[in-house]
Amino acid sequence: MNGQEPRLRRRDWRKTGTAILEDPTFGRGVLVAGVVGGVFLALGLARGLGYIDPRLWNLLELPISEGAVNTLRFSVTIIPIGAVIGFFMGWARVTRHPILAWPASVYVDIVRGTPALVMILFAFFWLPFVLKSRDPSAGLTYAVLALAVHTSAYQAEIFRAGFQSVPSGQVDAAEAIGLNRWQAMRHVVLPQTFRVTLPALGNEFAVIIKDTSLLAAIGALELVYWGRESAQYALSIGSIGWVISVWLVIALFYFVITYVITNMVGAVEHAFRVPGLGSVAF
Amino acid sequence: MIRVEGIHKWFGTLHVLKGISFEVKKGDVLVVIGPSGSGKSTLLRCINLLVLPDEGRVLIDGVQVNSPKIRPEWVRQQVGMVFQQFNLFAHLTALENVTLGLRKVRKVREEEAKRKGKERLARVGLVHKIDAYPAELSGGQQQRVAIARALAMDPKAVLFDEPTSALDPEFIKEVLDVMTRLAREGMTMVVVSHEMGFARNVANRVLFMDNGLVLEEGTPEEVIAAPRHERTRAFMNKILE
Repeated sequence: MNGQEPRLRRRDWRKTGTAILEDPTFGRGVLVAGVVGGVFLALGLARGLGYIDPRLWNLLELPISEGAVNTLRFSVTIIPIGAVIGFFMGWARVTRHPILAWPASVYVDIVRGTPALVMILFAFFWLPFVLKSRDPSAGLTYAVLALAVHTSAYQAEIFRAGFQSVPSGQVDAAEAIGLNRWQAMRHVVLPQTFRVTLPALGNEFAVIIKDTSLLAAIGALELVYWGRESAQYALSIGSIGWVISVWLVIALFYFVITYVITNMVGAVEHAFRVPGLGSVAF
Repeated sequence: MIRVEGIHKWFGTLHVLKGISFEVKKGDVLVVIGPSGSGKSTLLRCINLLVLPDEGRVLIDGVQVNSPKIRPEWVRQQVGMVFQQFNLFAHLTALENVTLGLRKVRKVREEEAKRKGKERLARVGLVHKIDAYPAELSGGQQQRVAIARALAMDPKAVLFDEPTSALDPEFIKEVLDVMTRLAREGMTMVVVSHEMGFARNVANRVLFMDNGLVLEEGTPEEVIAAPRHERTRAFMNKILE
């Protein structure tokens, strides 16, 4: 071999870094970042040269400074919470213990069968009352958690499929060399589940990022909320063209957030890629 | 070395093993044959406790191992196993497959595990494939890695569950050659297989199972060439055609 020692215990993070750079999606990422950056640069330039009415510019300030920041904040809160709940629910569904598997499948069925918007409204209006919460921001917190619960049901199914994709013969083989059940899970099943689930997880993340727009219904100050406010104001002082501009900028921010997060998942996927696992080798 | 006394196993209402007894001495190669569904694989899995017998005793070096006092993980380190479907860990390279047990069960240091893993892979003729992932290996190579993986734990005996049944014909010989060499080196082996050539040339004893019972047991000459039992004769006629 070319003098490379196979990695054993720890991953060589330098090698992982190179793998990210060699990722074909990385070049595309640079391209997209360039285009998006170019759009912002052009906007700034147009503003500087006086082509854009300063009132329109001011209209976009809050959607960006507050809306985009809050959307990102909701997303990065919801995604990990949903992933943790989803992981354990998916795990519970593949265990042969009915005490674990049965409630988990009921959870998935109920949550998947309920509209996210209904869950948000329910959590916002009713939960603070039931839990006798005095904190005025509790409703928003519960609504965000409701979205995390919502995505967790879908992620549970993704993880379940991931667990089931590992042939049981490999667990037999792990036990046959003396690993106990937990070690077989930790060293044989989980590393494969992780690799197999990543593409579907990235997809679900992309969905839930845009689902945070539902929080506008309860007045959360995220992108769509500010888009609506600004669009209304734009119509009163400007033209329909302004309204379109506002929504274009809103859409652009959703795109950027989704693109960055899904590509982070893609980079991890690429770095841990193993021949014959997860994706078809090209 | 391995002794099985009156093993019974039920799966639900299905009586899979109906009182099996036999003994394998150190250095013996026992080949178990019989029609599919006769309980051969279950019997093999009872020896390393992947399946727990419902009745009877499994003894290794005189110690009853199907007992609550003995950890099954310990038993499985004494008796290696090779599977029909190879069951290599798909996310690990050949070398990592072979060393996993050493690293995680025996807590052997990394360099020592690597050294031993390479040595075992060399024994099955795959030292040039240490960095290959299972998907990059042929069926025969995968099965040889699986044998090296079993050998890495220095087992006292190795169980083979139809090791060549899932292989393309071109790869059967390389696996049988490795097994033959292993037997010549004195490894104790229990082999479920329909490779009659292997049974004739390598086995000390052959055991014919049907419907959860041992119908016939003896030297390869006795069981293969001159079976006494009607069912054995019918089976031999079928597979030797």
